[in-house]
Amino acid sequence: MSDVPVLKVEELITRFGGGPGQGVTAVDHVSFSVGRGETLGIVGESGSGKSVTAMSILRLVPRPGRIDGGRVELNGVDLLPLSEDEIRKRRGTECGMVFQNPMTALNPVFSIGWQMGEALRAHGRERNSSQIIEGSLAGVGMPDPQRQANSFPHQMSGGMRQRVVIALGLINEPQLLIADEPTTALDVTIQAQVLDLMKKLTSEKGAALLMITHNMGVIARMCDRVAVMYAGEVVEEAPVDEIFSNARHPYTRGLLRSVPDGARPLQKMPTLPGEPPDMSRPFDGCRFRARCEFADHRCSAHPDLLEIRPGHRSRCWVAQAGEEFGPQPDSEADNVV
Amino acid sequence: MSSEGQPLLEVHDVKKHFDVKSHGAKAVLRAVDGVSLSLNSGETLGVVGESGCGKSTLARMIVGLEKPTDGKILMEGGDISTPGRAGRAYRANVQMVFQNPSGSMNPRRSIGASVAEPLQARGVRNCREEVAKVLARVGLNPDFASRRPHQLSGGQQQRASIARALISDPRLVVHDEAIASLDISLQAQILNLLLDLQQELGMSYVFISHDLAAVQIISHRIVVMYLGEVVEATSAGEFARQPLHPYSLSLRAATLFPDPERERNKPHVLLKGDVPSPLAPPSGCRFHPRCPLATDLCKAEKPRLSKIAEEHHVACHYPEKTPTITEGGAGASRSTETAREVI
Repeated sequence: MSDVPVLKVEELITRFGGGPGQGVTAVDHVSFSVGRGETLGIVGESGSGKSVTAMSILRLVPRPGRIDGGRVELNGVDLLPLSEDEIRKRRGTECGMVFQNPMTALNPVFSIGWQMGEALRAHGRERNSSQIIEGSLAGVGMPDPQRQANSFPHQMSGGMRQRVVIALGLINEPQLLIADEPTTALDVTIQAQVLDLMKKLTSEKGAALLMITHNMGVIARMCDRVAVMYAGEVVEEAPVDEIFSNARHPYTRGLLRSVPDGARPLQKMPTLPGEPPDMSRPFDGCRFRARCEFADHRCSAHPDLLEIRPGHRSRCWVAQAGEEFGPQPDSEADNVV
Repeated sequence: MSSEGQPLLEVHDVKKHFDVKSHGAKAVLRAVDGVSLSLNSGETLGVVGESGCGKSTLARMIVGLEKPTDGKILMEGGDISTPGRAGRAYRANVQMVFQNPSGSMNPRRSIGASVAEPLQARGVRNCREEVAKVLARVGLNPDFASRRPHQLSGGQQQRASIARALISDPRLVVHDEAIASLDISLQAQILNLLLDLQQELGMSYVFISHDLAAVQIISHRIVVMYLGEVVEATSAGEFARQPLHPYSLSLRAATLFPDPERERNKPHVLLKGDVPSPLAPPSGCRFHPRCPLATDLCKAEKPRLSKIAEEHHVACHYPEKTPTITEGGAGASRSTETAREVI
C-alpha cells in the first residue's frame, strides 16, 4: 500500500434544507480513508448517512442536499472545489460507482452495449469500443457477450443487470469503486455470485473498494476494515476481525447481536431496543445514548471519535475510558432464552 | 374446533397458473405448480425460496386473495373456497401481514380505523377497546390509534399491521416477507414479538421469506420452494442438521453470516446461473440445469417429493449425495457445529 490513500475523506459535512449551517445534517464530520487494494465497509441502518456519504464523494448529492464542509481527496486531489467539468472527467475514470437497484441504474430505452459505449465516449475512448465492451461483459461472467451487448435491460434477469452495472462501474478502470448496497435487490444465490465477482475484479486490478451496506454478512465476507455509522456519524472504525470479535461501541455490539444466525430456532434474540433517532431534531450528548444500556452521566457530553488501540477508533466514553462492556456479543446470546 | 390430530391448514396439490403474453404469444406462467403441505395448530411453517419461486402466490392463495387453478386449501377440514357463510367462517380464521407496512395501510385513515377493519367487517360496531388492547399487545401505545401511518416509523407501522391481523383472533397468520423492509435491529424486535405472540395466543404462522436465517429462527418446520414446487420439507432441526436437496444446501451456503473467519473460508457459490423462467421450466427436475449433481436421469424424469426419514421429504433423485457437495469444506464443519447447538 502506498502512502497516499486512494480516497481520503476528512470532516465531511452534508446537509439537507435550510440555509448555510442549518438544515438536517445527514453526514456530520465523517472521516475515513481507503488504500490501494483495500476494501472498506461502511455499515449502518437506514438514515445513518451511509448512502449520502457515498453520494457526497462524487458530488452527486441530490438537491436540496449540499456539501457544507470537509475534504474529499481522490488520489491526493480535493474534489470539492473542482469545477463541474473537472469532476465529470474523474467520475468513472478515477472512481466508478455501482448502485443498489440495477433496474433504475440502467436506461430502459438503450441497449446495454450503447450505454457501455456512452461511458467510453464520455472519456474519449471511442476506438475499439465494441471490443472493450464485449471484453468487460465477458469479464463479469456474461455468457455470449456479443449478443448481450445488443439486448435491453428488461430482457435480463436482476443478477445479469447487476453484472452490467458492475461492468459499467469498472469499464474505465477506476482506482476506486464505490458500491452502494450492490446486492440488496438480489436473491441470495445470485448475491453470492455478484460479491465474489466484485472481489475478484477489484483485487485483479488492485482497485480500492468502498462497500456500503446494512448487511453484516456482506461486511464479514468482503471487507478488510469497517466503519460503523449511526445518526450521521462514524461511531466506530476497526479492522474487520476486530469489529466482529471485539467491538468497542455499544451500537456495533447491539447490531451484531441482532443478526439472526439461524442456530437457535424458536428462541428470542437479543435486540437493540428503540429505533434510530429523528435526524431533524438537535442532538444533546452522545447520539446513541437513548438506546444504550451502558449510558451514564458522561454521555450527556458528545464524545469524539478517538483511537482506543492501534487502528481501532470508537466514539464512546465507556470504550475510551478502557472499561469493559461485559461478555462478547456471541457468548451473551447464549444466556438469553 | 379442529379434532385431535387434524392439521389446522392443509394444502392439497395446489396450482396457480397465470395466462400471460410472452413476446406476443399466449403463454402459461406456472407460479405454483402442485404444492402440498400441512400445518398443525400452534406451529410455524417457514416457506423459503428466491424470487419467482411462487412463495407469495402460495401465501395469497392460503388467505383467499387468489383462487387456485387446481387443488384444495382446507382450514380445519373445511375448503376455504366454499361459497357463502360457511366459506367466510373458514377464511375468517386466516389473516395476513404484508411486506411493505406503509403500502398496506390506508394513508388517509387513522391507525385505529385500519386496525379495527377486520372486526368491523364482521359486524362488530364499537371496537375501540379491542383496538387499544391489541395495540398494547404488539407493543404500541394505545394513543397511536388516532395517528396516521406516516406519523409512525417503519417498525411501528409493521407492529400496527400485525395488530390488524391479530384483532379478529385468527388461528393462522400468514406473514409474507413481513420483516424484509425493516432495518436489522427492528427485524430482531419483530421476530421476538412474533415468537412472544405465538406463545401467548397459540396461533399458527406461515412465515414466508427469502431470508433463511430468519426462517430458521421462527419456524418449527421448513419448506423450500423452487420454481413453483416444493423441493424439500422438513423439521427446522433436521434442516439445520443437514438439508438434503442440493438447492437447500446451496441456499444455506449462500447465506452470509456475521463471522469474517467463516465467511472468508467457506465456499459460497455452489450454483451457477440464474433461476430459469417459470414460463418455460426445465424438463425433468426443474433444478437440474443449476445442480452440481445432475445426471441424465434428472433431465428426463421429475423426482417425486418422497419421504426419506421421519418428517423429512425431499424431491431429488440423489438425496444421499447432497452432503458430499461441501464435504471437506468449511461449510461441512459448520453444519455439524450448528447441529450441536440445535440439540
